[in-house]
Amino acid sequence: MDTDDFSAYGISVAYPRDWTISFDRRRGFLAHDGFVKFEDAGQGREPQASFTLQWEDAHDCTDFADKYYVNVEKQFKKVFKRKDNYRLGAIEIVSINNHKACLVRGEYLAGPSLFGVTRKKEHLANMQLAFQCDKMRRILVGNITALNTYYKEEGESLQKMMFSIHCHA
Amino acid sequence: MTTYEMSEWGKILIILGILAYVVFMTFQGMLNFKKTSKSSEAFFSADRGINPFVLVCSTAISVFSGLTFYGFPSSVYRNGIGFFSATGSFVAALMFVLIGYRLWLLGKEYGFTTPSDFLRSRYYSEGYGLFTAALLVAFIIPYVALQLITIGDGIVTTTEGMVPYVGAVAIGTICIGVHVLSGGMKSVAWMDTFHMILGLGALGLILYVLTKTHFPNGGLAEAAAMVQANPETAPILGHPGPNGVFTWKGTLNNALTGAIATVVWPHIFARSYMAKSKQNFLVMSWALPLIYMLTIGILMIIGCVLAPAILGPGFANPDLVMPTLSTKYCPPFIAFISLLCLFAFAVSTSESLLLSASSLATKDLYIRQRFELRNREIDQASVVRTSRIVVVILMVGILYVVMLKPAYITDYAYRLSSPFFAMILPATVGGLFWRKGSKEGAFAGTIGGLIVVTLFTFILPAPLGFSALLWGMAVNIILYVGISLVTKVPEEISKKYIDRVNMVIATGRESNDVIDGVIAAARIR
Repeated sequence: MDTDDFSAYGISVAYPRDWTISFDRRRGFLAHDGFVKFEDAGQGREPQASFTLQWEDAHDCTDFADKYYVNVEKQFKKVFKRKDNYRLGAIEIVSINNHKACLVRGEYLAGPSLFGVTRKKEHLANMQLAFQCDKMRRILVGNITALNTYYKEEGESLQKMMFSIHCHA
Repeated sequence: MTTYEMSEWGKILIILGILAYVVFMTFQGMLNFKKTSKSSEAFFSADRGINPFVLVCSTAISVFSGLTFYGFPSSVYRNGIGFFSATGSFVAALMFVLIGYRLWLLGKEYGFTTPSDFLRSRYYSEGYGLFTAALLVAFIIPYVALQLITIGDGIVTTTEGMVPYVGAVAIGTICIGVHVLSGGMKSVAWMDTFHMILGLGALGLILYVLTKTHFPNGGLAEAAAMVQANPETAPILGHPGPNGVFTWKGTLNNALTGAIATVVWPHIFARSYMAKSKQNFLVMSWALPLIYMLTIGILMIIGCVLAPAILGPGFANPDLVMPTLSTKYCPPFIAFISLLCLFAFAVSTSESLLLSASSLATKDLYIRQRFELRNREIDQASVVRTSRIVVVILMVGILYVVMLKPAYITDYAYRLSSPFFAMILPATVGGLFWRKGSKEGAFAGTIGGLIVVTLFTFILPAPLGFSALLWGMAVNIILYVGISLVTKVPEEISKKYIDRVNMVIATGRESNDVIDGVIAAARIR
């Protein structure tokens, strides 16, 4: 996978060259409150994966990685409601840029149509990496979602992309 | 039949009750003043965070207006049970779910808050956005005016003239204007929930009291038997009704309006953007038809069973069936409850329409033209401030129409507003599902449909017994599809507004919801 670097406010990440970049108008794009999305644009086929990177001011939050570790399963339950709508794999504490981080791997059912009539739901692989940068006083979360089939082929590259996040120059 | 006279004290208590209601609404609105002052998304779309229960109540009560509360029973009494077809077999709920879900996804992706936001962007045309915004605002004004007139007439009738028409309208205006100005959609949505519960509860109580008071032994069955036994009232319970209105064509015309026009009313359209999650639409698919059935069902029974049984045939002024039943044939407390029910129905629709008109006028007609297209910045607090000024200007325009109280306003507002709003339906549906829907097709269809509706509403009778709406929709669809097939749509438009929604990954928003929830939880502890 050939990559390019995306960099703003001291945050950078390497993303696949043929992916598109988009921003969420509602979330803003500031030094202490930002959201950017990278998507596998398809090139004539349907997109297979997306990677979002969001950051916020840490305010007085401490031990963000540990708190993420404790709360993530509850939030999966809250959002997906039924147990067979999601499956959580490993939740582990890792290190990135010398910061403690929480790495979450899981899977969930999703689909574009409301009742699954026109298009069936599919299993999406999900990877989240959450950490706090005390130097810049920010919390950052990277989130990769991909079709299971795509994730099986490109999982290593996707993980490499996730761990290419730098929180300050 | 037992009748009741309203004492002077009774009228005074009712007036005090109305004033208490106005104070309550003002207070509730002010609670959200600060929260909605800094963000137009908070002011117009309640931060896209409306939960399923509130959205269902808000959508339902916004559909039911003062015309529903007074008009349904009177139309049924006048023309028969066939008027039930106005519910459109609850198709509106299904349409809201199917169209609304896609609009919601696009709204989250691209920040849409008004119908024109979507139409302008999808049809890559500033002109089309401006045209639809102006059209919608123009037909919202008389409709809101009609709600105020209904409120005014309701208060005057219930207090037997103790409150003059001007005072009654002033009360309605303060209620609606101040509430919308202060709290925006955050206040409106929560008040709608209160209004839906109040309205449904009040209707149930009115039905119960009328039945128990006048038919204590046999209940509704006794009343229905009385209606059936009288040859002058029996046609109300059958087709085509006393005046032969509900032939199959009449029923189809009526059903079509209820089925397809509702979902693109600007205040209903805008509710698609306000949902918190996909769950909203799943709940809407069963809950909205249920609320429709309960509300309209009660109004139907009052109109086709209780009204003819109690008032007899040939009641002099059928438009006043409901206020007459609830004031002369119910205890005074029920008269007050009935007035609250009217407020619930009329105020909720007026507020929602007024807010929609404000968002269209502010964002699509003013800010888009004066700032965005000229690359000038405007902060969110200024947008909200401008919207509040626009609300005041719109209220002045509405009051002017109310004070004139033209005889034809019911025709103008009701017969034209609904079909005119419906003319954006083909472009909306095509824009969401059909890659080939082009700007030229949208323009041709909408304008062609509008011309036909105007022609067959005011100038010529609609041919073959079908309604102006049906003819307008047919011409609209033919022109939209025909012109779109011979014109091109830029590839990036299809990708952006059709493919992105179809894309499985785009709906993997759930993982972002998980992240937002974890971050919020991490901050609390």
